[in-house]
Amino acid sequence: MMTSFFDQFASPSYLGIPLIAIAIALPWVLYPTPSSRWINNRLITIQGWFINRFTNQLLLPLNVGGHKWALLLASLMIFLITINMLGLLPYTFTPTTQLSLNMGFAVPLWLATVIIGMRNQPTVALGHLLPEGTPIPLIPVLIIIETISLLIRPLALGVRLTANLTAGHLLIQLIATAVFVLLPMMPTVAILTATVLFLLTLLEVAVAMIQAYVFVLLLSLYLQENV
Amino acid sequence: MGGHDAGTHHQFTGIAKYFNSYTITGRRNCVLATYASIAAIILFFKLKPKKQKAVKSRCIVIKLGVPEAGCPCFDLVTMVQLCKE
Repeated sequence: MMTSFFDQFASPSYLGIPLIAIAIALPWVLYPTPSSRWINNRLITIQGWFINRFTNQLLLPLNVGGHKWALLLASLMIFLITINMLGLLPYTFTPTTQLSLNMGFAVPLWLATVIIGMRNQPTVALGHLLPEGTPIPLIPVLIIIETISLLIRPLALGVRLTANLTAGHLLIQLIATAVFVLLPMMPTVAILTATVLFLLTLLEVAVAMIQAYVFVLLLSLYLQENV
Repeated sequence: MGGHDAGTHHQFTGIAKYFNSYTITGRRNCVLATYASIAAIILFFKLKPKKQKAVKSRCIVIKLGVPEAGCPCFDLVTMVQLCKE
C-alpha cells in the first residue's frame, strides 16, 4: 500500500467505527476530577490553581455579563491544549488537524457572540461596523469591508488552528523522514537534521499551546465587543 | 485612536445629526442605510422586468431536394430544418 505524508491526517476508523470519538474523549479522562474535600492533594490543587489563574486572566477584560462564558472558555482551552499536545506524541492522531472539528467549534461560538450582541445591544453591535471618525466618502466602503471581516472571523479561527497544526505535523514528518533516509548515507547531515527536528519539535510544542490560547483569546475578544 | 464614543461634544445639525461617523447612533444609522441601499439595489435587479422576446412558432419542414455538387450522398436528400415564421 502506497503511503503518503498525509495519511497521518486521515480520520481513523476501525471496522467502520470512527475512532475520532475516542480521541476527542481522551482529554477528559486524563484530568483528575476535583473531589469534594476541603483540601485536595497536590495534583488537583495545582490543576485547580492553573485553571483558576488562566480563567481569571482571560476574563479580566470582560464585564460581568461575559463571565457566564468562563466555564465554556476554560474548558475549551484545556480541551484544545490537551489535544494539541497529545498529537505531538509519535503515531497519534490529532483531531484538531481536521477542519471540520475546528469549524464546528468556531462557527457556533462566533455566531453566539454575534447573536448576543445583536440581541442585547443592537445599536452598539451595528455601530461597531463603522470605525469612529471615518470620512464621509469612505463610509459605505468601510461598512462593507467591516462586514466582510466580521463574516470571515469564524473561517479564520478554524483555518488558523487547522493550518498551524497540519503544517507543523507535516514538517515534523518530513524532517524525520529525511533523518532516517540520510542516516546510512550521510550521518553528519543526518545529525544536523536531527538537531533541526529537535528544535522544530520544541517549536511545535509552543505552537500547540499558543494556537489553543489564541483560539480562546480571540473568542473572548469577540465576546467583549458584544457583551 | 480611542474607541470611546463621547457624542456629547459633537453638535450635529440636520441630516448629520442622524448620519455621522462619530456618535454610536449615527454609525448605526449609516450601517443600516448602507445595508438598506444594498438590499434595494439587489431587489431592483431581481424584480426588474425582463424584455419579452416575441413568441415565434417553429415549424418543421421536410424538404426533398437534390444534393449539392460534390456531395457523396444519395440522389434524394431529405432535409429537415427548423424555420422561424
